[in-house]
Amino acid sequence: MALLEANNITIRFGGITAVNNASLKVEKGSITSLIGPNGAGKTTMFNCISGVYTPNEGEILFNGKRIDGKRCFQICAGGISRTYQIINLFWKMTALENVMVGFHPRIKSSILHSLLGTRKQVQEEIELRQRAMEYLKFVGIEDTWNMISKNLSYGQQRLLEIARGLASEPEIILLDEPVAGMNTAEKAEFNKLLRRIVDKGVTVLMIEHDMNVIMGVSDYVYVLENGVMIANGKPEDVQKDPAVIKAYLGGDE
Amino acid sequence: MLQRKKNYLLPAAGATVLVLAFPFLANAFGYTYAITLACYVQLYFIAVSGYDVLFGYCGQINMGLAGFYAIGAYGSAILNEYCNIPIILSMIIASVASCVVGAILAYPCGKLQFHFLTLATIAFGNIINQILSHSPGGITGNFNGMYTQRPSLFGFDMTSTTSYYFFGLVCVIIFAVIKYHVVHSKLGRAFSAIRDNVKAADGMGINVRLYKVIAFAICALFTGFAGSMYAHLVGFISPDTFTQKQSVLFLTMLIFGGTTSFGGSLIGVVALMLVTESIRTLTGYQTLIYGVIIILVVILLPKGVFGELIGLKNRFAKKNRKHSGEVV
Ligand SMILES: Nc1ncnc2c1ncn2[C@@H]1O[C@H](COP(=O)(O)OP(=O)(O)OP(=O)(O)O)[C@@H](O)[C@H]1O
Ligand SMILES: [Mg+2]
Repeated sequence: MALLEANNITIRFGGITAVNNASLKVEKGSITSLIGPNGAGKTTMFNCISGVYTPNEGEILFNGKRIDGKRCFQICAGGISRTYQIINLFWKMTALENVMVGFHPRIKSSILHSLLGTRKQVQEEIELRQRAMEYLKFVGIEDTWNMISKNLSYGQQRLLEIARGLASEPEIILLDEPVAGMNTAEKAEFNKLLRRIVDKGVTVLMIEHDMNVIMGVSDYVYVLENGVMIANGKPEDVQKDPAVIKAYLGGDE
Repeated sequence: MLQRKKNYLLPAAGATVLVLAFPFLANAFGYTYAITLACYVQLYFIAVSGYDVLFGYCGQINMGLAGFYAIGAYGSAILNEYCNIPIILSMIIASVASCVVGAILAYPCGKLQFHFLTLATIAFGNIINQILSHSPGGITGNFNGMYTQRPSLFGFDMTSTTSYYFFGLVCVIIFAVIKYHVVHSKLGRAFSAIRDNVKAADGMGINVRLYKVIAFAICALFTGFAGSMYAHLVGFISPDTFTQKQSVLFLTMLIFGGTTSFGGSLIGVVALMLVTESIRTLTGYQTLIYGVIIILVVILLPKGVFGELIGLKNRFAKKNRKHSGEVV
Protein backbone atom coordinates (compact mmCIF):
# COMPACT_ATOMS: atom_id res chain seq x y z
CA MET A 1 0.00 0.00 0.00
CA ALA A 2 1.34 3.41 -0.96
CA LEU A 3 1.65 6.01 1.80
CA LEU A 4 -0.26 8.61 -0.18
CA GLU A 5 -2.56 7.93 -3.08
CA ALA A 6 -4.59 10.38 -5.15
CA ASN A 7 -7.01 8.66 -7.49
CA ASN A 8 -8.67 10.33 -10.48
CA ILE A 9 -8.65 13.81 -9.01
CA THR A 10 -10.63 16.45 -10.87
CA ILE A 11 -11.10 20.00 -9.69
CA ARG A 12 -12.77 22.86 -11.52
CA PHE A 13 -12.76 26.58 -10.87
CA GLY A 14 -15.76 28.04 -12.63
CA GLY A 15 -15.14 27.25 -16.29
CA ILE A 16 -11.60 25.92 -16.11
CA THR A 17 -10.58 22.43 -15.09
CA ALA A 18 -7.34 22.94 -13.19
CA VAL A 19 -6.75 19.24 -12.55
CA ASN A 20 -8.35 16.65 -14.78
CA ASN A 21 -8.61 13.01 -13.73
CA ALA A 22 -5.06 12.96 -12.37
CA SER A 23 -3.68 10.21 -10.17
CA LEU A 24 -0.45 9.77 -8.26
CA LYS A 25 1.08 7.46 -5.68
CA VAL A 26 3.83 8.17 -3.20
CA GLU A 27 5.69 5.24 -1.67
CA LYS A 28 6.87 5.47 1.93
CA GLY A 29 10.47 6.64 2.25
CA SER A 30 10.71 7.95 -1.31
CA ILE A 31 11.32 11.31 -2.90
CA THR A 32 8.60 11.75 -5.48
CA SER A 33 8.52 14.77 -7.77
CA LEU A 34 5.65 16.47 -9.53
CA ILE A 35 6.74 18.53 -12.50
CA GLY A 36 5.04 20.36 -15.33
CA PRO A 37 4.88 23.69 -17.14
CA ASN A 38 3.49 26.84 -15.47
CA GLY A 39 -0.21 26.64 -14.79
CA ALA A 40 -0.25 22.85 -15.15
CA GLY A 41 -2.15 22.41 -11.88
CA LYS A 42 0.68 21.23 -9.63
CA THR A 43 -0.01 23.62 -6.76
CA THR A 44 -3.72 22.93 -7.12
CA MET A 45 -2.96 19.22 -6.68
CA PHE A 46 -1.04 20.04 -3.46
CA ASN A 47 -3.92 22.17 -2.29
CA CYS A 48 -6.27 19.21 -2.75
CA ILE A 49 -4.01 16.89 -0.79
CA SER A 50 -3.45 19.38 2.06
CA GLY A 51 -7.14 20.21 2.37
CA VAL A 52 -7.21 23.75 0.99
CA TYR A 53 -9.60 22.52 -1.71
CA THR A 54 -11.89 19.52 -1.83
CA PRO A 55 -11.65 17.85 -5.24
CA ASN A 56 -14.84 17.73 -7.30
CA GLU A 57 -14.13 14.12 -8.20
CA GLY A 58 -11.77 11.43 -7.06
CA GLU A 59 -10.41 10.32 -3.70
CA ILE A 60 -7.26 10.88 -1.69
CA LEU A 61 -5.98 8.10 0.54
CA PHE A 62 -3.37 8.50 3.27
CA ASN A 63 -2.27 5.24 4.85
CA GLY A 64 -5.31 3.72 3.14
CA LYS A 65 -7.81 6.15 4.73
CA ARG A 66 -9.83 8.78 2.87
CA ILE A 67 -8.69 12.31 3.71
CA ASP A 68 -10.34 14.37 0.96
CA GLY A 69 -12.89 16.74 2.43
CA LYS A 70 -10.99 17.11 5.71
CA ARG A 71 -9.88 20.55 6.82
CA CYS A 72 -6.26 21.76 6.51
CA PHE A 73 -5.54 21.68 10.23
CA GLN A 74 -6.89 18.14 10.50
CA ILE A 75 -4.74 16.94 7.63
CA CYS A 76 -1.65 18.57 9.13
CA ALA A 77 -2.40 16.98 12.50
CA GLY A 78 -2.91 13.67 10.65
CA GLY A 79 0.68 13.65 9.41
CA ILE A 80 0.84 15.60 6.13
CA SER A 81 2.83 18.80 6.31
CA ARG A 82 3.65 21.27 3.56
CA THR A 83 5.49 24.37 2.41
CA TYR A 84 4.18 27.01 0.05
CA GLN A 85 5.22 28.27 -3.37
CA ILE A 86 4.54 31.82 -2.20
CA ILE A 87 6.30 31.90 1.16
CA ASN A 88 3.78 31.83 3.96
CA LEU A 89 5.58 32.49 7.21
CA PHE A 90 4.37 34.18 10.37
CA TRP A 91 5.99 37.45 9.44
CA LYS A 92 6.09 39.20 12.80
CA MET A 93 7.49 36.20 14.67
CA THR A 94 11.11 35.17 15.03
CA ALA A 95 12.46 32.14 13.19
CA LEU A 96 12.37 30.14 16.40
CA GLU A 97 8.75 31.07 17.11
CA ASN A 98 7.78 30.08 13.59
CA VAL A 99 9.14 26.59 14.18
CA MET A 100 7.41 26.46 17.56
CA VAL A 101 4.06 27.08 15.89
CA GLY A 102 4.86 24.01 13.81
CA PHE A 103 4.79 21.90 16.99
CA HIS A 104 1.19 22.89 17.64
CA PRO A 105 -0.58 19.62 16.72
CA ARG A 106 1.94 17.59 18.74
CA ILE A 107 1.85 19.56 21.99
CA LYS A 108 0.74 17.32 24.85
CA SER A 109 -0.32 19.98 27.38
CA SER A 110 -4.04 20.67 27.11
CA ILE A 111 -5.58 24.11 26.78
CA LEU A 112 -6.44 24.01 30.49
CA HIS A 113 -2.82 23.22 31.42
CA SER A 114 -1.77 26.16 29.26
CA LEU A 115 -4.21 28.50 31.02
CA LEU A 116 -2.98 27.45 34.44
CA GLY A 117 0.68 27.26 33.47
CA THR A 118 1.19 23.95 35.24
CA ARG A 119 4.70 22.72 35.86
CA LYS A 120 4.30 20.04 33.17
CA GLN A 121 3.31 22.68 30.62
CA VAL A 122 6.19 25.01 31.54
CA GLN A 123 8.60 22.08 31.28
CA GLU A 124 7.20 21.16 27.87
CA GLU A 125 7.63 24.74 26.63
CA ILE A 126 11.30 24.67 27.62
CA GLU A 127 11.79 21.40 25.76
CA LEU A 128 9.96 22.79 22.72
CA ARG A 129 12.35 25.72 22.53
CA GLN A 130 15.31 23.37 22.53
CA ARG A 131 13.73 21.14 19.92
CA ALA A 132 12.84 24.13 17.73
CA MET A 133 16.51 25.08 17.83
CA GLU A 134 17.39 21.56 16.67
CA TYR A 135 15.07 21.89 13.67
CA LEU A 136 16.70 25.20 12.74
CA LYS A 137 20.08 23.46 12.96
CA PHE A 138 18.73 20.59 10.87
CA VAL A 139 18.00 22.94 7.95
CA GLY A 140 21.12 24.98 8.66
CA ILE A 141 19.78 28.37 9.74
CA GLU A 142 20.24 28.20 13.52
CA ASP A 143 22.02 31.57 13.70
CA THR A 144 18.85 33.32 12.51
CA TRP A 145 16.80 31.99 15.46
CA ASN A 146 16.19 35.39 17.02
CA MET A 147 15.51 37.24 13.75
CA ILE A 148 12.05 38.32 12.65
CA SER A 149 11.17 36.01 9.78
CA LYS A 150 10.51 38.77 7.27
CA ASN A 151 14.14 39.92 7.65
CA LEU A 152 15.53 36.54 6.57
CA SER A 153 16.93 36.06 3.06
CA TYR A 154 14.72 34.37 0.51
CA GLY A 155 16.62 31.10 0.73
CA GLN A 156 16.53 31.17 4.53
CA GLN A 157 12.79 31.76 4.48
CA ARG A 158 12.32 28.67 2.31
CA LEU A 159 14.43 26.63 4.72
CA LEU A 160 12.49 28.04 7.67
CA GLU A 161 9.25 26.86 6.07
CA ILE A 162 10.73 23.38 5.80
CA ALA A 163 11.85 23.45 9.45
CA ARG A 164 8.39 24.59 10.52
CA GLY A 165 6.80 21.89 8.35
CA LEU A 166 9.01 19.20 9.87
CA ALA A 167 8.23 20.36 13.41
CA SER A 168 4.74 18.87 13.16
CA GLU A 169 6.47 15.46 12.82
CA PRO A 170 4.77 14.58 9.54
CA GLU A 171 4.96 11.23 7.79
CA ILE A 172 5.11 13.09 4.50
CA ILE A 173 6.05 16.65 3.64
CA LEU A 174 4.88 18.38 0.48
CA LEU A 175 7.42 20.91 -0.82
CA ASP A 176 6.14 23.43 -3.38
CA GLU A 177 9.11 24.72 -5.40
CA PRO A 178 11.50 24.65 -2.43
CA VAL A 179 14.57 25.91 -4.32
CA ALA A 180 12.87 28.80 -6.15
CA GLY A 181 14.97 31.88 -5.43
CA MET A 182 17.92 29.95 -3.99
CA ASN A 183 21.45 30.44 -5.34
CA THR A 184 23.61 27.58 -6.66
CA ALA A 185 25.38 26.97 -3.36
CA GLU A 186 22.07 26.89 -1.50
CA LYS A 187 20.65 24.47 -4.08
CA ALA A 188 23.57 22.07 -3.63
CA GLU A 189 23.05 22.28 0.13
CA PHE A 190 19.35 21.64 -0.38
CA ASN A 191 19.99 18.33 -2.18
CA LYS A 192 21.81 17.09 0.91
CA LEU A 193 19.00 18.37 3.14
CA LEU A 194 16.46 16.37 1.11
CA ARG A 195 18.44 13.20 1.80
CA ARG A 196 18.58 13.98 5.51
CA ILE A 197 14.82 14.52 5.55
CA VAL A 198 14.26 11.10 4.04
CA ASP A 199 16.81 9.54 6.41
CA LYS A 200 14.78 10.99 9.26
CA GLY A 201 11.88 8.84 8.04
CA VAL A 202 9.89 11.60 6.37
CA THR A 203 8.64 10.92 2.85
CA VAL A 204 8.91 13.78 0.35
CA LEU A 205 6.56 14.86 -2.41
CA MET A 206 7.98 17.86 -4.21
CA ILE A 207 7.03 20.26 -6.97
CA GLU A 208 10.10 21.58 -8.75
CA HIS A 209 11.15 23.24 -11.98
CA ASP A 210 14.90 22.82 -11.55
CA MET A 211 15.78 19.73 -13.62
CA ASN A 212 19.12 19.23 -11.87
CA VAL A 213 17.37 18.88 -8.55
CA ILE A 214 14.61 16.68 -9.96
CA MET A 215 16.82 14.26 -11.86
CA GLY A 216 19.47 14.11 -9.14
CA VAL A 217 17.32 13.16 -6.18
CA SER A 218 13.90 11.88 -7.27
CA ASP A 219 12.97 8.23 -6.99
CA TYR A 220 9.88 8.72 -9.08
CA VAL A 221 8.52 11.56 -11.23
CA TYR A 222 5.01 12.57 -12.28
CA VAL A 223 4.44 15.01 -15.12
CA LEU A 224 1.36 17.19 -15.22
CA GLU A 225 0.34 19.28 -18.20
CA ASN A 226 -2.88 21.29 -18.41
CA GLY A 227 -4.24 19.37 -15.46
CA VAL A 228 -3.61 15.99 -17.07
CA MET A 229 -0.99 13.51 -15.87
CA ILE A 230 0.89 12.89 -19.12
CA ALA A 231 3.71 10.68 -17.85
CA ASN A 232 5.20 9.02 -14.79
CA GLY A 233 8.18 6.83 -14.07
CA LYS A 234 11.83 6.81 -13.06
CA PRO A 235 13.52 10.17 -13.74
CA GLU A 236 15.70 8.78 -16.54
CA ASP A 237 12.68 7.26 -18.31
CA VAL A 238 10.53 10.35 -17.95
CA GLN A 239 13.32 12.47 -19.34
CA LYS A 240 13.22 10.48 -22.58
CA ASP A 241 9.41 10.44 -22.87
CA PRO A 242 8.41 12.25 -26.09
CA ALA A 243 5.23 13.65 -24.50
CA VAL A 244 7.28 15.21 -21.72
CA ILE A 245 9.83 16.66 -24.11
CA LYS A 246 7.02 18.14 -26.15
CA ALA A 247 5.32 19.61 -23.08
CA TYR A 248 8.54 21.22 -21.93
CA LEU A 249 9.96 22.39 -25.23
CA GLY A 250 6.58 23.42 -26.66
CA GLY A 251 7.21 22.43 -30.29
CA ASP A 252 4.53 21.75 -32.86
CA GLU A 253 3.24 18.44 -34.08
CA MET B 1 22.36 38.62 33.12
CA LEU B 2 22.77 38.83 36.88
CA GLN B 3 23.72 42.47 36.55
CA ARG B 4 20.50 43.10 34.70
CA LYS B 5 18.43 41.44 37.38
CA LYS B 6 20.02 43.67 40.00
CA ASN B 7 19.17 46.73 37.94
CA TYR B 8 15.52 45.76 37.98
CA LEU B 9 15.39 44.83 41.65
CA LEU B 10 15.39 48.36 43.06
CA PRO B 11 12.66 49.85 40.82
CA ALA B 12 10.55 46.73 41.34
CA ALA B 13 10.84 46.99 45.11
CA GLY B 14 10.10 50.71 44.92
CA ALA B 15 7.01 50.14 42.79
CA THR B 16 5.74 47.44 45.16
CA VAL B 17 6.12 49.70 48.18
CA LEU B 18 4.41 52.56 46.34
CA VAL B 19 1.48 50.38 45.27
CA LEU B 20 1.04 49.03 48.81
CA ALA B 21 1.44 52.41 50.50
CA PHE B 22 -0.65 54.33 47.99
CA PRO B 23 -4.07 54.27 49.72
CA PHE B 24 -2.53 55.21 53.07
CA LEU B 25 -0.62 58.10 51.54
CA ALA B 26 -3.74 59.25 49.70
CA ASN B 27 -5.74 59.10 52.93
CA ALA B 28 -3.04 60.91 54.84
CA PHE B 29 -2.98 63.76 52.34
CA GLY B 30 -6.74 63.85 52.02
CA TYR B 31 -6.94 62.72 48.38
CA THR B 32 -9.40 59.93 49.08
CA TYR B 33 -10.87 60.23 45.59
CA ALA B 34 -7.48 59.09 44.26
CA ILE B 35 -8.09 55.66 45.83
CA THR B 36 -11.33 55.32 43.90
CA LEU B 37 -9.50 56.28 40.73
CA ALA B 38 -6.84 53.67 41.49
CA CYS B 39 -9.62 51.07 41.80
CA TYR B 40 -10.81 52.12 38.35
CA VAL B 41 -7.27 51.69 37.04
CA GLN B 42 -7.24 48.15 38.44
CA LEU B 43 -10.48 47.05 36.85
CA TYR B 44 -9.80 48.79 33.54
CA PHE B 45 -6.38 47.17 33.51
CA ILE B 46 -8.03 43.74 33.77
CA ALA B 47 -10.48 44.55 30.95
CA VAL B 48 -7.80 46.00 28.68
CA SER B 49 -5.48 43.04 29.36
CA GLY B 50 -8.23 40.69 28.23
CA TYR B 51 -8.83 42.79 25.16
CA ASP B 52 -5.10 42.66 24.46
CA VAL B 53 -5.32 38.86 24.21
CA LEU B 54 -8.08 39.16 21.61
CA PHE B 55 -6.99 42.26 19.69
CA GLY B 56 -3.24 42.48 20.29
CA TYR B 57 -2.35 38.80 20.10
CA CYS B 58 -5.13 37.26 18.02
CA GLY B 59 -5.85 40.28 15.80
CA GLN B 60 -9.63 40.12 16.23
CA ILE B 61 -11.68 43.22 16.92
CA ASN B 62 -14.52 43.40 19.41
CA MET B 63 -16.50 46.63 19.57
CA GLY B 64 -19.09 45.16 21.92
CA LEU B 65 -16.88 45.07 24.99
CA ALA B 66 -19.39 47.17 26.93
CA GLY B 67 -21.84 44.28 26.52
CA PHE B 68 -19.55 41.88 28.37
CA TYR B 69 -18.72 44.57 30.91
CA ALA B 70 -22.49 44.83 31.49
CA ILE B 71 -22.98 41.08 31.81
CA GLY B 72 -20.34 41.03 34.53
CA ALA B 73 -21.72 44.07 36.32
CA TYR B 74 -25.45 43.32 36.17
CA GLY B 75 -24.89 39.57 36.45
CA SER B 76 -23.05 39.89 39.72
CA ALA B 77 -25.41 42.56 41.06
CA ILE B 78 -28.53 40.53 40.24
CA LEU B 79 -27.12 37.26 41.58
CA ASN B 80 -26.29 39.00 44.83
CA GLU B 81 -29.49 41.02 45.08
CA TYR B 82 -32.08 38.42 44.10
CA CYS B 83 -30.37 35.07 44.73
CA ASN B 84 -28.40 36.08 47.83
CA ILE B 85 -25.21 34.67 46.42
CA PRO B 86 -22.19 36.07 48.29
CA ILE B 87 -20.54 38.79 46.26
CA ILE B 88 -17.20 37.31 45.29
CA LEU B 89 -18.92 34.12 44.17
CA SER B 90 -21.46 36.17 42.21
CA MET B 91 -18.61 37.99 40.49
CA ILE B 92 -17.04 34.72 39.43
CA ILE B 93 -20.35 33.28 38.16
CA ALA B 94 -21.14 36.47 36.25
CA SER B 95 -17.74 36.59 34.58
CA VAL B 96 -17.96 32.91 33.63
CA ALA B 97 -21.38 33.70 32.14
CA SER B 98 -19.80 36.55 30.19
CA CYS B 99 -17.11 34.13 29.02
CA VAL B 100 -19.74 31.66 27.78
CA VAL B 101 -21.65 34.40 25.97
CA GLY B 102 -18.35 35.48 24.39
CA ALA B 103 -17.76 31.97 23.09
CA ILE B 104 -21.32 31.71 21.77
CA LEU B 105 -21.01 35.07 20.02
CA ALA B 106 -17.60 34.18 18.60
CA TYR B 107 -18.69 30.92 17.04
CA PRO B 108 -20.79 32.42 14.23
CA CYS B 109 -18.55 35.51 14.15
CA GLY B 110 -15.45 33.36 13.62
CA LYS B 111 -16.02 33.43 9.89
CA LEU B 112 -16.43 37.20 9.66
CA GLN B 113 -13.72 39.46 8.34
CA PHE B 114 -12.60 42.56 10.20
CA HIS B 115 -15.27 45.07 9.11
CA PHE B 116 -18.14 42.66 9.48
CA LEU B 117 -16.83 41.52 12.83
CA THR B 118 -16.79 45.17 13.92
CA LEU B 119 -20.42 45.59 12.92
CA ALA B 120 -21.55 42.32 14.48
CA THR B 121 -19.91 43.12 17.82
CA ILE B 122 -21.29 46.69 17.81
CA ALA B 123 -24.73 45.15 17.32
CA PHE B 124 -24.10 42.80 20.23
CA GLY B 125 -23.17 45.70 22.51
CA ASN B 126 -26.30 47.57 21.51
CA ILE B 127 -28.52 44.54 22.07
CA ILE B 128 -27.17 44.09 25.59
CA ASN B 129 -27.69 47.79 26.27
CA GLN B 130 -31.29 47.50 25.09
CA ILE B 131 -31.86 44.52 27.36
CA LEU B 132 -30.50 46.50 30.34
CA SER B 133 -33.04 49.25 29.83
CA HIS B 134 -35.96 47.00 28.82
CA SER B 135 -35.36 43.95 30.98
CA PRO B 136 -37.97 41.26 31.61
CA GLY B 137 -39.74 42.07 34.87
CA GLY B 138 -37.54 45.12 35.29
CA ILE B 139 -34.90 42.97 36.96
CA THR B 140 -32.13 45.41 36.02
CA GLY B 141 -34.10 48.41 37.19
CA ASN B 142 -34.21 49.53 33.56
CA PHE B 143 -33.45 53.24 33.17
CA ASN B 144 -33.44 53.71 36.94
CA GLY B 145 -30.45 51.42 37.33
CA MET B 146 -29.78 49.36 40.42
CA TYR B 147 -27.84 49.62 43.68
CA THR B 148 -25.05 47.22 44.54
CA GLN B 149 -23.20 46.19 47.68
CA ARG B 150 -19.53 45.99 48.58
CA PRO B 151 -18.20 42.44 49.04
CA SER B 152 -16.98 40.88 52.24
CA LEU B 153 -14.66 37.92 52.38
CA PHE B 154 -14.22 35.63 55.39
CA GLY B 155 -15.74 38.32 57.55
CA PHE B 156 -13.24 40.82 56.12
CA ASP B 157 -15.48 43.72 55.21
CA MET B 158 -14.63 45.73 52.10
CA THR B 159 -16.90 48.69 52.60
CA SER B 160 -13.95 51.06 52.75
CA THR B 161 -12.42 51.98 49.43
CA THR B 162 -8.98 51.21 50.83
CA SER B 163 -9.85 47.58 51.48
CA TYR B 164 -11.53 47.37 48.07
CA TYR B 165 -8.27 48.65 46.60
CA PHE B 166 -6.38 45.72 48.10
CA PHE B 167 -9.05 43.30 46.95
CA GLY B 168 -8.63 44.77 43.44
CA LEU B 169 -4.89 44.37 43.68
CA VAL B 170 -5.27 40.64 44.34
CA CYS B 171 -7.64 40.38 41.34
CA VAL B 172 -5.17 42.24 39.11
CA ILE B 173 -2.41 39.83 40.09
CA ILE B 174 -4.60 36.79 39.43
CA PHE B 175 -5.67 38.00 35.98
CA ALA B 176 -2.17 39.15 35.07
CA VAL B 177 -0.89 35.68 35.91
CA ILE B 178 -3.60 34.08 33.74
CA LYS B 179 -2.71 36.38 30.85
CA TYR B 180 0.97 35.60 31.31
CA HIS B 181 0.22 31.87 31.04
CA VAL B 182 -1.97 32.36 28.00
CA VAL B 183 0.69 34.37 26.23
CA HIS B 184 3.51 31.98 27.09
CA SER B 185 1.84 28.83 25.88
CA LYS B 186 0.55 27.20 22.74
CA LEU B 187 -2.54 29.39 23.13
CA GLY B 188 -0.65 32.66 22.75
CA ARG B 189 1.41 31.23 19.92
CA ALA B 190 -1.69 30.02 18.09
CA PHE B 191 -3.31 33.46 18.56
CA SER B 192 -0.28 35.25 17.13
CA ALA B 193 -0.13 32.77 14.26
CA ILE B 194 -3.77 33.52 13.40
CA ARG B 195 -3.07 37.26 13.56
CA ASP B 196 0.05 36.99 11.38
CA ASN B 197 -1.18 34.58 8.72
CA VAL B 198 -4.50 32.73 8.95
CA LYS B 199 -3.78 30.51 5.96
CA ALA B 200 -0.45 29.31 7.34
CA ALA B 201 -1.94 28.87 10.82
CA ASP B 202 -4.58 26.57 9.35
CA GLY B 203 -1.92 24.72 7.39
CA MET B 204 0.19 24.21 10.54
CA GLY B 205 -2.56 22.32 12.32
CA ILE B 206 -4.20 25.15 14.26
CA ASN B 207 -7.97 24.94 14.47
CA VAL B 208 -8.47 28.60 13.63
CA ARG B 209 -12.18 28.67 14.43
CA LEU B 210 -11.66 27.07 17.85
CA TYR B 211 -8.80 29.36 18.82
CA LYS B 212 -10.72 32.47 17.77
CA VAL B 213 -13.55 31.31 20.03
CA ILE B 214 -11.08 30.81 22.88
CA ALA B 215 -9.60 34.28 22.40
CA PHE B 216 -13.08 35.82 22.44
CA ALA B 217 -13.97 33.83 25.54
CA ILE B 218 -10.83 34.92 27.40
CA CYS B 219 -11.52 38.54 26.50
CA ALA B 220 -15.13 38.20 27.66
CA LEU B 221 -14.03 36.58 30.94
CA PHE B 222 -11.64 39.43 31.74
CA THR B 223 -14.09 42.15 30.69
CA GLY B 224 -16.94 40.49 32.57
CA PHE B 225 -14.90 40.32 35.75
CA ALA B 226 -13.87 43.96 35.35
CA GLY B 227 -17.57 44.80 34.99
CA SER B 228 -18.41 43.04 38.25
CA MET B 229 -15.55 44.85 40.00
CA TYR B 230 -16.98 48.09 38.67
CA ALA B 231 -20.49 47.30 39.89
CA HIS B 232 -19.39 46.65 43.47
CA LEU B 233 -17.00 49.58 43.49
CA VAL B 234 -19.43 52.32 42.51
CA GLY B 235 -22.50 51.00 44.33
CA PHE B 236 -24.89 51.98 41.54
CA ILE B 237 -25.12 50.86 37.93
CA SER B 238 -27.30 52.09 35.10
CA PRO B 239 -27.44 51.49 31.34
CA ASP B 240 -25.70 54.82 30.62
CA THR B 241 -22.33 53.31 31.51
CA PHE B 242 -22.62 50.32 29.20
CA THR B 243 -22.76 52.06 25.85
CA GLN B 244 -20.63 52.12 22.74
CA LYS B 245 -18.61 54.89 24.40
CA GLN B 246 -17.29 52.41 26.95
CA SER B 247 -16.18 50.00 24.22
CA VAL B 248 -14.40 52.81 22.41
CA LEU B 249 -12.69 53.80 25.66
CA PHE B 250 -11.28 50.27 26.11
CA LEU B 251 -10.01 50.23 22.54
CA THR B 252 -8.46 53.68 22.92
CA MET B 253 -6.67 52.61 26.11
CA LEU B 254 -5.23 49.55 24.43
CA ILE B 255 -4.10 51.32 21.28
CA PHE B 256 -2.75 54.34 23.15
CA GLY B 257 -0.57 52.26 25.47
CA GLY B 258 0.35 49.68 22.88
CA THR B 259 -0.66 46.07 22.35
CA THR B 260 0.96 42.76 23.37
CA SER B 261 2.38 43.91 26.69
CA PHE B 262 1.41 44.55 30.30
CA GLY B 263 3.11 47.94 30.35
CA GLY B 264 1.15 49.15 27.35
CA SER B 265 -2.18 48.27 28.95
CA LEU B 266 -1.19 50.00 32.20
CA ILE B 267 0.03 53.19 30.51
CA GLY B 268 -3.05 53.29 28.28
CA VAL B 269 -5.42 52.87 31.23
CA VAL B 270 -3.73 55.51 33.41
CA ALA B 271 -3.37 58.02 30.57
CA LEU B 272 -6.97 57.68 29.40
CA MET B 273 -8.22 57.78 32.99
CA LEU B 274 -6.49 61.15 33.38
CA VAL B 275 -8.00 62.34 30.10
CA THR B 276 -11.46 61.11 31.09
CA GLU B 277 -11.22 62.83 34.47
CA SER B 278 -10.19 66.13 32.90
CA ILE B 279 -12.95 66.10 30.28
CA ARG B 280 -15.60 64.87 32.68
CA THR B 281 -17.62 68.05 32.23
CA LEU B 282 -17.53 67.85 28.43
CA THR B 283 -20.14 65.11 28.20
CA GLY B 284 -21.01 64.46 24.60
CA TYR B 285 -17.52 65.27 23.36
CA GLN B 286 -15.78 62.32 25.04
CA THR B 287 -16.14 59.89 22.14
CA LEU B 288 -14.90 62.62 19.81
CA ILE B 289 -11.81 63.11 21.97
CA TYR B 290 -11.15 59.37 22.14
CA GLY B 291 -11.47 59.27 18.36
CA VAL B 292 -8.92 62.04 17.95
CA ILE B 293 -6.55 60.23 20.32
CA ILE B 294 -6.89 56.98 18.34
CA ILE B 295 -6.15 58.77 15.07
CA LEU B 296 -3.14 60.61 16.50
CA VAL B 297 -1.68 57.49 18.07
CA VAL B 298 -2.19 55.35 14.97
CA ILE B 299 -0.39 57.97 12.86
CA LEU B 300 2.32 59.16 15.24
CA LEU B 301 2.93 56.17 17.54
CA PRO B 302 1.87 53.05 15.64
CA LYS B 303 3.21 50.77 18.40
CA GLY B 304 1.52 52.76 21.18
CA VAL B 305 3.33 54.77 23.83
CA PHE B 306 4.82 51.74 25.58
CA GLY B 307 5.79 50.03 22.32
CA GLU B 308 7.58 53.14 21.08
CA LEU B 309 9.37 53.58 24.43
CA ILE B 310 10.67 50.01 24.25
CA GLY B 311 11.77 50.62 20.65
CA LEU B 312 13.66 53.75 21.73
CA LYS B 313 15.31 51.92 24.61
CA ASN B 314 16.47 49.11 22.31
CA ARG B 315 17.91 51.56 19.79
CA PHE B 316 19.70 53.39 22.60
CA ALA B 317 21.12 50.14 23.97
CA LYS B 318 22.40 49.19 20.52
CA LYS B 319 24.13 52.56 20.09
CA ASN B 320 25.75 52.23 23.51
CA ARG B 321 27.05 48.80 22.69
CA LYS B 322 28.56 50.10 19.45
CA HIS B 323 30.24 52.97 21.29
CA SER B 324 31.79 50.72 23.88
CA GLY B 325 33.38 48.81 21.01
CA GLU B 326 31.55 45.58 21.70
CA VAL B 327 30.97 43.32 18.72
CA VAL B 328 27.29 43.40 17.87
N1 LIG C 1 -8.53 29.34 -6.55
C1 LIG C 1 -8.48 29.34 -7.89
N2 LIG C 1 -9.46 29.94 -8.61
C2 LIG C 1 -9.43 29.96 -9.94
N3 LIG C 1 -8.46 29.40 -10.68
C3 LIG C 1 -7.45 28.79 -10.05
C4 LIG C 1 -7.40 28.73 -8.60
N4 LIG C 1 -6.29 28.06 -8.24
C5 LIG C 1 -5.67 27.73 -9.37
N5 LIG C 1 -6.36 28.14 -10.46
C6 LIG C 1 -6.00 27.93 -11.86
O1 LIG C 1 -5.63 26.59 -12.02
C7 LIG C 1 -4.56 26.47 -12.92
C8 LIG C 1 -3.44 25.71 -12.29
O2 LIG C 1 -2.80 26.53 -11.33
P1 LIG C 1 -1.64 26.02 -10.40
O3 LIG C 1 -1.29 27.14 -9.51
O4 LIG C 1 -2.03 24.75 -9.79
O5 LIG C 1 -0.45 25.78 -11.42
P2 LIG C 1 1.03 25.30 -11.14
O6 LIG C 1 1.22 24.06 -11.91
O7 LIG C 1 1.32 25.28 -9.71
O8 LIG C 1 1.84 26.47 -11.87
P3 LIG C 1 3.19 27.19 -11.44
O9 LIG C 1 4.30 26.38 -11.97
O10 LIG C 1 3.09 28.51 -12.11
O11 LIG C 1 3.17 27.31 -9.96
C9 LIG C 1 -4.18 27.88 -13.36
O12 LIG C 1 -4.79 28.14 -14.61
C10 LIG C 1 -4.78 28.73 -12.27
O13 LIG C 1 -5.13 29.99 -12.79
MG1 LIG D 1 2.50 26.28 -8.44
